[in-house]
Amino acid sequence: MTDLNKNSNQPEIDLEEDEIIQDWSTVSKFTNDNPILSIPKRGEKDYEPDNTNTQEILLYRAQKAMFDTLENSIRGTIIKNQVKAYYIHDRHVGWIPHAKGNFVQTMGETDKEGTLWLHYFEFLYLAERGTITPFWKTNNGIEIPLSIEDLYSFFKNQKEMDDFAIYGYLKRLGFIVKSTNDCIISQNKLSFYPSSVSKSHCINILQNITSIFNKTYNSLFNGIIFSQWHFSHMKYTSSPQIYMSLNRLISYNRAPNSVKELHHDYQFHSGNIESSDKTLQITFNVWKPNPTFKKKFPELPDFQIVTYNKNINDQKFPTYKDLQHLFQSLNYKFNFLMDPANSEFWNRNTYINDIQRQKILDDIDNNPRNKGKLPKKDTNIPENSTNKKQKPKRELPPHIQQLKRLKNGYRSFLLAIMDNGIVSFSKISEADFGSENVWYVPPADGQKKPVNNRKRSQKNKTKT
Amino acid sequence: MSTRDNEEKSIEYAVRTNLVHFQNWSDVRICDDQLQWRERTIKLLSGVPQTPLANGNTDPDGNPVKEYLLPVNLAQYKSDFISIECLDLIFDKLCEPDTKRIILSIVNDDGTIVFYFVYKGVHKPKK
Amino acid sequence: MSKRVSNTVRYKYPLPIHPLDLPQLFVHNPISWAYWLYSYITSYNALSNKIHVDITKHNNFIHIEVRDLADMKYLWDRGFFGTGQLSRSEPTWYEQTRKKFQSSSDGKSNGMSLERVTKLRRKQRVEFKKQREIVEEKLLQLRREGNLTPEQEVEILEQERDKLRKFKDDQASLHIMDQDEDITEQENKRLLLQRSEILDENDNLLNLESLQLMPVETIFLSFALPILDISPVDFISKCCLTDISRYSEDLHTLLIQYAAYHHYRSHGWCVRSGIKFGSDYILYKRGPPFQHADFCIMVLDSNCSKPYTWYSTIARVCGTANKTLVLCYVERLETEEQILEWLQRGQLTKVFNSFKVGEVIYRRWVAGRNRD
Repeated sequence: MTDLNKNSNQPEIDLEEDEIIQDWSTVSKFTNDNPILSIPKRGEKDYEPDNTNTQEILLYRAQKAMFDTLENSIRGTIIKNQVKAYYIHDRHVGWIPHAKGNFVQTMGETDKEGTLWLHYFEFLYLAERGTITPFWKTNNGIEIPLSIEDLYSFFKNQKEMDDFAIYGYLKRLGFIVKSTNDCIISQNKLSFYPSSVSKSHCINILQNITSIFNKTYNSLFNGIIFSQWHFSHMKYTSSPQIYMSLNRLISYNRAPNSVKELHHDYQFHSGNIESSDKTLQITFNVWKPNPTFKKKFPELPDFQIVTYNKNINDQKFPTYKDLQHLFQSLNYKFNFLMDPANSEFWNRNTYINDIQRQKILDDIDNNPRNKGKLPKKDTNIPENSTNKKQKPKRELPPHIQQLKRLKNGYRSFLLAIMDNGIVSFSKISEADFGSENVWYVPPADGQKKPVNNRKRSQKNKTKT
Repeated sequence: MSTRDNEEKSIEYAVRTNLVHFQNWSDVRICDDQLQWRERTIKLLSGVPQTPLANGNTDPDGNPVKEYLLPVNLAQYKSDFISIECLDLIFDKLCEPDTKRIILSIVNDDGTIVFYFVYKGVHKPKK
Repeated sequence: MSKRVSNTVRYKYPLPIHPLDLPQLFVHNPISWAYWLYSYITSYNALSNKIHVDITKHNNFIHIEVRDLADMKYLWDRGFFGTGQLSRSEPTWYEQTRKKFQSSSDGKSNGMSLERVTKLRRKQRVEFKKQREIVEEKLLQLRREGNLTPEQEVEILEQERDKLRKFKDDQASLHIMDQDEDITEQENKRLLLQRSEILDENDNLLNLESLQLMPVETIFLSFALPILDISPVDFISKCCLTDISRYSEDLHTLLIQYAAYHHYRSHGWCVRSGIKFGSDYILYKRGPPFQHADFCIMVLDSNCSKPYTWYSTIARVCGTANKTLVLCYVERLETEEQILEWLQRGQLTKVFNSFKVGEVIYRRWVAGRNRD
C-alpha cells in the first residue's frame, strides 16, 4: 500500500484515505467539453449503430484510457502497511487487533483493548476493497490466508448475500451504513424515542389518543345519514360546510406528524410490533457522507433500509399492515419534523442507550480530559446550523407547504430491491390526504372579482 | 333493449365512433371475421388514420395505410385474456398476411379510449 | 385574460349542489334580517329537477350516460364530472362540430355541401332497401319450404337484421361512395361519410356525444350528492354481475373503489380516471382547466400484496409523467355479512362507514442523487 495521503479534508471525495490513490488524470481527459473527444454521458445515447466507426472508436479510446490507468497503478500491499484481519467462524464476525485507517471511524465496534470487531459484511467489504487482508487463525495460532472466494462461501444464506450486495453498493457511493439490530460486543441502542416516554405519565393521554386514532370516527360518522332528502332538510350555506358533511363518511389513518404524536404512536404500538422471519424488517441505518461521524455516539440516521429480494417466492411484497409495522419501527431523522441539519433539535431528540445525545455531547465537552480534543465539533456544528437556519425564514405560502406535505408524506423507509444481483431502491412513505383539505372556496357574491384573479396569478407565478 | 341499442353499446361500436368522429379516420369498418377466445368473441376493426401514425407504413405517396384495431374493455384487460397465444391467433386469423402490428384499443369505464401498438415480434422503438 | 375571468365565473361552484344563496345581511337594517330569514327558510340545497341518466349494460359492461346538453354542461362545470367520449375530457364535440359546420357551409365550397350529404343518404336508402328485399326474399323462401319453427324464424330474422344494420353502417356507405363519380379525394370521402352520420333526416346536427360517468361518480352523484334520477343501491346491484345477495369480488372492488373516490372528493379533490397514466384515479387540485394533476392513485385492498414489478412499473410511469404515486389501501372493518345486510336494507351510509383508507407514497429512489 502506498503512503497515505493525510490531508484529505474534502468530504466530496469519497475515496477513503486508506485506499490507494489512483491517478485518474488520463481518464479525466475524456470528460471533456468537446463532444467528439469525450465519453458519451449517461442518458445521452445514440439511437442505434450508425455503421460508421466513430462510435466504436470513442468507446475504444475511453476503455483504453481506463485500462492503461489501471495497468500502471501500484498493485499489492507493502507488508509494513498491511492490515491483518481475522475471521471467527463460530461467531461469524471479523476482528482486527490494532486497526488503523479511516474506515475505523465508521465501521465495526471498538472494544476497550482497541480491537475492532467487524460484522461479516463489513469484514468482506474491506477485504474486497483490499483495505484488509483476511486470515483464518487456527487454535494453535497458525494464520491461513483467505481468498475472496473463501469468504463468499461463508455466507449463511441468500438474505445475507443480498444484504451484503446492498451494503456494498451504498458504501461505494460514500454512504455510512450500519446494521440496525445485531451488535457484536455492546448494545448501542440509537433511538428517537426515550424509553422514558414515561408510561404512567402517558396513560391518560394514551387513552385519548387511542380513541382519536381508532374509535371516534365511526361514532361520529353514524351521526350523518345520507339520504335522498338530506339536502332538502339540511341547510348548507357554504361549500366547505357541504364538504365537511361529506368527509365524515370515510375514516382514514392519520399519520403522526409531530414529536408528540410520534411518541404516542410509538407507545401505543410498541407492544404489538410482532416480527417473524417472513416479515420484512429494517436492516440498515444509512447516513449521508459525513466527515465528523461519531461511531460511538452517532446521530440518528438519514435513511433506514429494508432489504427485499424480488425473486424469492415466500417473500411477499408488504401488505398495508406490514408497511404500518415498518413505519412504527422506524427510527431516523424524521425530516418532516425538522431540517436534518438542525443539530440542536436532533441532539435533543436522539437517545443513545436512553441518554439524550445532547447530554452525552455536553458531558464530553465538560470533561477536562477532552478539552481541546474535540475542536472539530465546536467549529463544525455552529457553522452548519447557522447556514441552514437561514433557510426557514423564507416561509413558503400555505398552499405550497401543503403540496409539499402531500407529496413527501411522513415517516418513510427505503426498500432496497435485489433482483439477481441488480440493486434498486424505492422510497415508501406514509401519506395522509385525510388531514388536508384542498377544496375551492368560491368568492362570496359581494366580493369583487379582481381579488380572486390576483390570487390565482400569484399561484401561477409560484408554479413556474 | 333492442338489438340496435345493444349493438351501439358494443365496444367495437364505441371504438368505431371514436375513430370516425373524434380521430377522423377514414374507411373504418368492423371486420367480418371473428374468433372465439376464452368464451369471448374477438372482432377487429380496420381503418386508415388521417396522418401516418408513429412507425407506420405509408403508401408510395406517403399516405397512411390501413391499420387494424383490437377493441378491449379495460375490465377484461387481464393477463389471462390477451396472451401471446391469443395475439398470435389474432395476427393469423383476423389480419391480412404480413400485418406487422395491431392497435390495442382499451375502452375505459369513463368512456375514454386509449390506444397502444402491439407489434408482432421485436420492433424498433420510437426515436 | 378574459378567458380566465370567465373560468372564474363558469367554475364558481366546486360541487353540483350549491350552498344557499343568501342575501347580504346588514346589521342595522331589520328588513335585511327578515329577508335573510325568509330566504334561509325557503331555499334549500337540493336540485329541484334531478338529472336523467341512461344506464345500459352490454356484455356485462355498464354504461352510464347523461345525454341532455344542459345537464352535461352542469355536471362538467360543477366539479368536472364525467367524460365526453368524443373529446379529450370535457364534452365539446357538439359545439365544435356545430362551429365547423357553420363555417364550412357558409360559402366555402369544399365539396361538402348539404346536397352532397343528401345525395349520399338517398343512395344509402336505395341500397338498404335493395338489401332488405334480398333478406325478405330469403326469409319467404325459407317459410315456403315450411321447415322453420317460430324460434328459428326469429333467430334468422334477427341475424339478417344485424347484417343489414352493419351494412348500413360501414360497407354500404363505402361501397356507394366508391361509385360516386364526384368524389375522388380520400379526405372528402371521409368528411362526407362523417357528416352523413351526424345529420338527421332534416339536416339537423345530432349530438353523438354523451357525458359518460364512471360507476363511482354515479354512486357519488346519487348517494352522497343525490342529483341523479336513480337509486344508488339499485345501481350498485346492477353494477355487479351477480345480485347483492352475495359478497362478490366485483362488489368488494366497487365498494373500495368508491370509498377511495369519496375520500378524495370529500377533501376537495377533483378525482378523474387515471387510465392515461396506468392508475385508477388522478387528482386535480381544482380541475383540469386550472392545473395539472399532481397525484396518481392506485386503490388496493389493505391485505393486497402484488408482485414487485406491479409497483415498480406504475411508479416508473407516474414518475415519468411527473406525478406522485399514492397507494390507497382500503380496509373493510365489518364482516361481509354485515355489509350485505346493510346494503340490502339500503343503508349505504353504514356500508361506507365500514371502510377505512390508509395511504402510502411509492417513489423510485436513486442513491447517487441523495448524497447531498
